[in-house]
Amino acid sequence: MADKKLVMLVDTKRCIGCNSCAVACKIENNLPKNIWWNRIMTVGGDNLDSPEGEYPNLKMHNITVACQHCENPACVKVCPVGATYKDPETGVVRQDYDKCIGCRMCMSACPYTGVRNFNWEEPAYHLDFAVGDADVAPHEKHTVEKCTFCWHRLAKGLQPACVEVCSARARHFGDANDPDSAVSAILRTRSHEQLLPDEGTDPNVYFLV
Amino acid sequence: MSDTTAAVAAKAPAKKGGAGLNIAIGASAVVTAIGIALWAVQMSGGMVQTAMRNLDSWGLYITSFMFFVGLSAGGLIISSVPKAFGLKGFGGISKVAVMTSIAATVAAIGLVVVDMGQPFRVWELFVYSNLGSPLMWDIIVLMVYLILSCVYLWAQIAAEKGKVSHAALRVISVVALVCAVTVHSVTAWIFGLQQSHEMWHTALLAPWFVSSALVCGTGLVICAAVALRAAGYLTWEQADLVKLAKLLAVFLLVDLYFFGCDLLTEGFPAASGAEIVAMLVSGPLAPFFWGEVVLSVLAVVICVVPSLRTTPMMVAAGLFAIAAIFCKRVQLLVGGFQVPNLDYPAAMTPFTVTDWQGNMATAYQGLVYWPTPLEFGIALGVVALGFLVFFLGLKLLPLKPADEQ
Amino acid sequence: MTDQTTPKSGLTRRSFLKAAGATTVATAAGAIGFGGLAIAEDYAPGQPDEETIFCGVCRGNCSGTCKLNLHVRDNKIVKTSKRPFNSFPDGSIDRICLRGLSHPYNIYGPNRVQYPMKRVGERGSGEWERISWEEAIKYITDEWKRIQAEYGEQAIAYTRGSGNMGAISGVASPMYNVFFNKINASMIKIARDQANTRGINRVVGNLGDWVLNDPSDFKNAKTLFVWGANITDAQLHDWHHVADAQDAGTKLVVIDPIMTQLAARADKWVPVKPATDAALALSMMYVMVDEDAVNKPFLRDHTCAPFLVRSDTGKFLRMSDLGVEPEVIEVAAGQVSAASSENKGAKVNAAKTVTKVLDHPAVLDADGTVKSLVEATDPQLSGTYDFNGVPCSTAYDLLVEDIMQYPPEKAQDICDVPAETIVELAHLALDGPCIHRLGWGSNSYTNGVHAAHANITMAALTGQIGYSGAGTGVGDFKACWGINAVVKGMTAAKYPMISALALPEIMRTDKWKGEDYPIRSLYVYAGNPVSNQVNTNEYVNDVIGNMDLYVVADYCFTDTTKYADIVLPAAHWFEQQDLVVISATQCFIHSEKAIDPLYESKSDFEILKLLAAGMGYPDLIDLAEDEYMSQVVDTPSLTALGITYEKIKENEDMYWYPEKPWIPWQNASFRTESGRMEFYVENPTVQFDVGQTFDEERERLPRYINPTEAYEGSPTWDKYKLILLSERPRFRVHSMWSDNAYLRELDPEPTIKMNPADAEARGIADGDYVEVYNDRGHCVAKAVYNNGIRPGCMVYPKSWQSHQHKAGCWSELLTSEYDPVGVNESYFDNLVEVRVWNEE
Repeated sequence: MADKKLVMLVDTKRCIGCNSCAVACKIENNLPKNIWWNRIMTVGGDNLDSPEGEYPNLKMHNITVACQHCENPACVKVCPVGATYKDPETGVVRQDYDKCIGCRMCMSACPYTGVRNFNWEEPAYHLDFAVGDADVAPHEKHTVEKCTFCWHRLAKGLQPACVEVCSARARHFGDANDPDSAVSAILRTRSHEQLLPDEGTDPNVYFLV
Repeated sequence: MSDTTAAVAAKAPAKKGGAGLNIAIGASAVVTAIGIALWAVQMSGGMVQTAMRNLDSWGLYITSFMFFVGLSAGGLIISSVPKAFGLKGFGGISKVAVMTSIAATVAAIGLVVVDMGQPFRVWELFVYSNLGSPLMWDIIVLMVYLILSCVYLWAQIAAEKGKVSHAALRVISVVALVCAVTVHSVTAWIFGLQQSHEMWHTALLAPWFVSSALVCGTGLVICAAVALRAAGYLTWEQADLVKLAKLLAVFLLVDLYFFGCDLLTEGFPAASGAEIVAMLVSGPLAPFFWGEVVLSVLAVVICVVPSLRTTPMMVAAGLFAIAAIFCKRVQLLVGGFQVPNLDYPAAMTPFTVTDWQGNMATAYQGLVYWPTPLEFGIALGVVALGFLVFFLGLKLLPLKPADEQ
Repeated sequence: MTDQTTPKSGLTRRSFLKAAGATTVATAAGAIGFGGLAIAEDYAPGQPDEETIFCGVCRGNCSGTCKLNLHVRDNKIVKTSKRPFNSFPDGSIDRICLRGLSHPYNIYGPNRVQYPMKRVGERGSGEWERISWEEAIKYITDEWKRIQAEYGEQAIAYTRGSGNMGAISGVASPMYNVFFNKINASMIKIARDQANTRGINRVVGNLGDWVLNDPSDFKNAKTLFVWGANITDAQLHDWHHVADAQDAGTKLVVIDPIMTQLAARADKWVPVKPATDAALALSMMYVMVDEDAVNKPFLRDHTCAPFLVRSDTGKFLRMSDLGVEPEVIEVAAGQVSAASSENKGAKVNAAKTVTKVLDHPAVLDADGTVKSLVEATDPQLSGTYDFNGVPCSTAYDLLVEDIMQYPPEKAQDICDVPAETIVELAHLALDGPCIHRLGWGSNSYTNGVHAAHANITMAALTGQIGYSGAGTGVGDFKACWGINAVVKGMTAAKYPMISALALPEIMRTDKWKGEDYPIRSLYVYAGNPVSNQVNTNEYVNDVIGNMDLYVVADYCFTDTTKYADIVLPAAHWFEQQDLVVISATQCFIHSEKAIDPLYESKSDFEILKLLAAGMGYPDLIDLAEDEYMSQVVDTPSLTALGITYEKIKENEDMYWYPEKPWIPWQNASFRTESGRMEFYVENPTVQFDVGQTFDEERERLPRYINPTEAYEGSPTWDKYKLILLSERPRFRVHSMWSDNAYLRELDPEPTIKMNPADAEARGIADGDYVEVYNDRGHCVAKAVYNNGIRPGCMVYPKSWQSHQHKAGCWSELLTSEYDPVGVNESYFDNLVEVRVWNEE
């Protein structure tokens, strides 16, 4: 078991699907055009921000979906070259762009389809200089990338960008192996769910319900 | 595809190394070269030129890969089973059959290579091998299979010249047979071990892949052998052809049996699997589903009704069998992506899914994936490479039955 | 304050990965709750990337005014992040949103206006030539001189939008008035969000245009009623206060025709028919009165309820009517608000005191006699009095008479809210304390004044106002008090302000209130009226079409710059320093200059200096920005609170009220003439004088009246049967960010949200392009099915630029009709129809 079990909690009662976390992720990591590591989904009707039901008997909520940093990650098992791997110290599922052979086995294996992004072309950017943090790894054509839990920020003792920016205070991040951490306390008191639990991946992203 | 070129070859003058074969080699080489050029286009301009996207991340290449792995089976198994078990074979087509295996394996490997985003990092597979990855298993098994096929072919030729004992050949046959079964199982596991795609996640997938491989492999051997016979490359007893056709019927029935088992298992609980059955039977994949069923049944009928077992009809049955399995491959691959695990609406970009401009519901309304012309071109190039290998084999190796050489 | 940070950065990826693989012992790395990571220790130094961080303020008209860290690398703003408010050390108002995060594109994107440009093609053709600043200023000022000589001084006009909350270059800046008053130009006032103000302030007095308890007080309410406010889109920054309140046990009731994200989280969502909020509130009051549950002591002591009203004049019976001589006293003049509702020159030479006539209202005392309010021991809420043959009733009786017209059984037909729900809402509202936050929904119809009036009147019945957890108001866009508008160079305006709603008529007739009043040039700053004002075709044809010179200063190209004769490149917020004095945080915040203005752009302040010089006043604006900001803030009243410009700069931000959280109307002290809540309006006035007449009688009490267009059976009902509502989506703030490529990936094109039933009835499939149209114009967008849209309504996320539509734009469809009292743009008061669009 990893020394730490870094987990992300997303409070679905607070999340209003504003996309601030998605944009923070996009800028912080200087994501290329068309790439979003973190996406917001409406649990409701067929369209974004649309509820399910007949007016006025309606309901909707949102989930934010990025790499689930699973305890039992399907992607890590299938990568033929170990380009995606689980950091033994933190439990973070990492991706080494320089190693990735672009076979997309991990994308196919991941049940949370879409959290892994392939650079289908030479990464293109909206601006002609790199935005966001200077320490993020450069993006590479024809390789797979995804949420890193803002590894470069963890290294500086910061929280992931999406957690920091959430103005709804819907996100929490910390070490679930530390019983004194805030996330442990929340997990003890709030009912929570994982995404697609039947897949057996045991995500480290929990949705507070 | 295989048949048309084979037919061209068939019309060629009936002499080893004749002009027809040379033309076939030249044509294959040209198509291969065009494929390579197109591949260069794909690599430089990016795989965005394919129809593959994040939510449907594999396409024609992997479909064809599965298909060609299957094709590669037939020849080797048909050739090795009689030898391994000391049975009477199917006539003098043993070496040609193995040659089809080699060619198909080369094409299969080529299809993996063109699907890779970073083919120049292929060396990493051997340096950083993650032996837990089914893809890694498959790569190893495919390599072994290719080498074994070559060794087996060499052993047959050598045995004919008396340089290899029949006992040794029999050992090699057994190993080759085991390897053939393994390669299909492992290829199946690339898909079958993925819990994330309900359509793939079934224990039946490996045996089913073996049965499908036998179907299309046998179909291919029938077509190739008849073509070579027509071209005068070799002589072949009609009885052997009929024997193969009967065998094809058996394989087809087994394959259909697996198909039925799988559908029943999926559909019976009337849970999420029923959605998959509906998608196959009446949804976007219905043409491929019914295509497989109808083609298989037709092939079986031809093969079991004695009056229908004329040579052209049996060739047709072989072609139907091949086409049916291709339909199966399309169902399997596209169908695996056709049911999203997370079907909630989200913002979509040109990288998200092929048809990204509506919402998730519209993206999955039709086939979530359909190849671009570039993909067809590159895939065709790889197939041509397979033919090139086969034709070169015909030209350069003593593949005719020993008694004809 | 500027932080110099040199993060241990520049590490190569390889070394980083290597480090990551190592399993050295963890050392505490600070901020995060899990005690840091070992990798921090192994962070290998590479070539140093120096990053400088400045304090910026995001200051568009969501009014959130979030403090941002501006991360500058290689002289470029590469990132923005949230910056803590020093006034709230607990971090409770630290925040940033998707717009605040995507500034780098606004700054460096291709849509920046880079240099001054002069139109060469037809207006609107987008054909320009590049000119120098000297040429631009000379051209503008030469034209202005010619126009003034030809048509009079008033013929130069200036207006703005809400694109900058700054005190120097933004909408709160006195500098525009300094310059334009000097040349005696006409100030055109935008007519937005005034119906709420009128409806509320005529009852409680002016404590600002939009006031309510600080949102951090929401949690102290038992129930939070949100009336027509899409907080989860339009005021994202306030959502967490609502969520915190829910966590603390506050019930959330959302009254909205649309299932917004907020409504989805409500304990009770009341899907109301559009434009009927007044009827709903009146009916809730019916229940309160009917059940005799009103707060009588409050009504007696803090409202005009006991005041006797003369039936002949409609005015209060006053002691002067009874022969008591009024008292005349001098009181201190009120403080100045940063809200820009008036010309800042109005305070030039203003007296320090104002005269007040004390003529007390007469009330019925418990003993049945009529006495002065100040003498009566127990003023009666009900009763009549015969004043020399003129029957007089109490204001409360008149209110009750009014309210009794709205029994729940009747209101349910008006509002489409079940009678039992109305009763339930009334009970919730009685079970206080409750906060009622009003949004811009009901404000966007011509009957909006009455909706707000009804709501604030309900507070008079319950007495739930002016203490923690109790209040009624808008409270989203907040301006500070106590600043000084009369900076150096300020002179009084020669001509009165003109409402933007009156401008088209002036341009058509060259007359204003019957007098000749030609206007020939308009200068637009911090705004995009073509996109954001109503009735675009009228604006473009009648207003712009009749201008000799239309000048627009903006940092990016907009629908408005498209029609300009001269476009001036303004600097982005972060390319200049400014002081924010209008803020949902109720903090003064100083925004630093992080980078030099890009290309040839200049701050609005610098542009004003050039214009002043061009008009012959080179010394008019001759102080530095800091000096003007100091003049704005360094007033006796603010100094008394310990607030000075220097301190604001030092602390970055300072809360501008003495107590926190601020709660308006404490101790039931109201800013009306009587100091009480005057739900009966003795002297109704208009929000803006455009020479209009109105029905005084109607305005005295809150009533439900039909809006102009947006109701079944309205004059255009036979042609158009869908009410068109807008939302201010989180992807834009009005038209700002409309060209931001990051946000456009998430929200790529104009959409119209429709209930599938309405769409299917018109043969419209989900995702079809549709044309929405009425007599005023049309607009093409993609139809998006949404069951949360009330049938009979459609909702468009607003302010796409016309080039982003296949045809038309939303604002073409909006009525320029206005209520004579509110004088307000009525964005929702529209009927339209929709059909599939088959053209390309």
